[in-house]
Amino acid sequence: MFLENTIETADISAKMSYIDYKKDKAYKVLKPAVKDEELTRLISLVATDKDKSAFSNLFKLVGPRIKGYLMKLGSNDIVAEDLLQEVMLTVWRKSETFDRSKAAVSTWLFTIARNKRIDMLRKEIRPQLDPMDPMLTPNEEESADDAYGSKQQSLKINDAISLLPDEQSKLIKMTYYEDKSHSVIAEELKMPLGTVKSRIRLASTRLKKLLEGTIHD
Amino acid sequence: MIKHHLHSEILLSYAAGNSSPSESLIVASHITSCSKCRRDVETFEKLGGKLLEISNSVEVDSSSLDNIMSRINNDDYSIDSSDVLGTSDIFKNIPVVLQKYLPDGDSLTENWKKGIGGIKYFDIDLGQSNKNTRARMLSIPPGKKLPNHGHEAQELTLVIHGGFSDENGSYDAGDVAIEDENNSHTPISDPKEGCVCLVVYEGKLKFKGLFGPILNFLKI
Repeated sequence: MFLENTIETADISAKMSYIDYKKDKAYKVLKPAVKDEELTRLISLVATDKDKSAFSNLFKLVGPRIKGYLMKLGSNDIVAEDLLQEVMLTVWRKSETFDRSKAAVSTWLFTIARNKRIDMLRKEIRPQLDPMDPMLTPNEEESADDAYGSKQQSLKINDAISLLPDEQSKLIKMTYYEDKSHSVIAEELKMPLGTVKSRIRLASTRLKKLLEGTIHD
Repeated sequence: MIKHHLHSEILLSYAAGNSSPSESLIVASHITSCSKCRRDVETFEKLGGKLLEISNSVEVDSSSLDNIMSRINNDDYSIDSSDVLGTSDIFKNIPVVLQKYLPDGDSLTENWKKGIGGIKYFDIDLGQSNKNTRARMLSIPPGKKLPNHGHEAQELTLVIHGGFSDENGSYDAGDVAIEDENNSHTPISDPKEGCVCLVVYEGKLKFKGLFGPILNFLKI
C-alpha cells in the first residue's frame, strides 16, 4: 500500500519538478542534488549575512513542499500555512545551526517542522538533545558529508522504503504520517500494545539495516 | 562503554516526533552519551527528511511570503547563550537536557523528596496531559535491594551515576533498562556508589515484596 503510494508520490514529485521546470527556466539546471546545493547556499547566506533576498528565494523553493508535507500529516490549509510561517521563522532564526556536514537540508527542515508541530498542535514539551552538551560523545563513524555521499544516502532511503513488506511500511507510515503513538496504533489495529511494539521494532530495525546498506534483499 | 540500549521502535517514535514528553526526555538523555542510538535517531530523521522531500508541493497562499518577510523584518530574536548549563558541579555528568528539569541546591539531591530506606526522589514536571506517563529521578543508597516488582506497562530506567544490577545484568551510567508488563525484577544498587537514575514509566509499579503495599502506597 505504502509501497504503491511511495512510487506514486515519487512519480507526482517527478512530474511536479517537470512542471516547475516548464514554468521556470531557472529549474532547468536544478537537478535534485544541485537543488540541494542551492538550498544549502541560500541557507548559508541567511546564516552569515542575514540575507533577506536569499531567505525569500528559499521560502519560494521549500515553502510549497513543506506545506504539502504538513497537509499530508493531516493539517488543513489554514493550520499548514500557520505552521509553515513558524517553520520558516525558525529557519531564519536558527540558520547558523544548520551544518551541511551533519545533515541534508531536507533532514534539517524535517526536524524543525516536527518540533513546530509538537509545539503548536500538541502544545507539549519536547525535551531534546542539546547539540552543545559537553557530555556529547563523538560519533563512532563519520557521516557521508560530501554532496555525492549525501546523494547516495538519499537514493538508498528511497530504495529502503520500497523494500519494506506491506505491513511494516504501514506501521512506519502510521508513525510518521499519522503522528500516532504505539498505544493509539494498538487501539486502531486492535492488537495488543506489546505486539505493536515488537512489530514496529522489527520494521524499524529492518529499515535501519536497509538504510545502512547492511542487507540487500 | 554503553551496554544496554533503547529499542529501535522507541528511537523511531522520538525521531518521528510522537513519543510522550517523558519518553522524549529519556531518549534525549540517553543519546547524549550513546552514539550508537544517536546515529539510529539520525537515520530515522533522514528518513523523515526524505518523506518531506517526496511530498507533493501545495501552493502557498499569496500573502504568505509578505507575512514572513514582515515578521523577519521586525524580528529581534537572538540566541540566548545564558541558558547553556553544565557549569554547576552538582550537575556534573548529567545531560543538559535533563539538568533543565532538576532543582538547584548545594547537592544534587538536596531538594528531592525523602522516601523510605534512604531513597530520595524528584518528580519531573513536563506538563503532561497524560498523567499516566511520568518521569522521576531516583537516588538509591549503595547496596540497597528494592523489593521484587512488576510493571503495569513500559518502564525505562537510565542510569545517571553509579549503577544497579538485576536478573538481566548490570547497568552503569548511560545504560538503559527496559521493563514491561511481562517481567518483574529485583534491582540492587551498586555497593559502592549507589544509583542515581531517571525512571520513565506508564502506569504504576506493582511491588510484590514484603514492603510492597507500603511502596505502592508511597508510589515510589
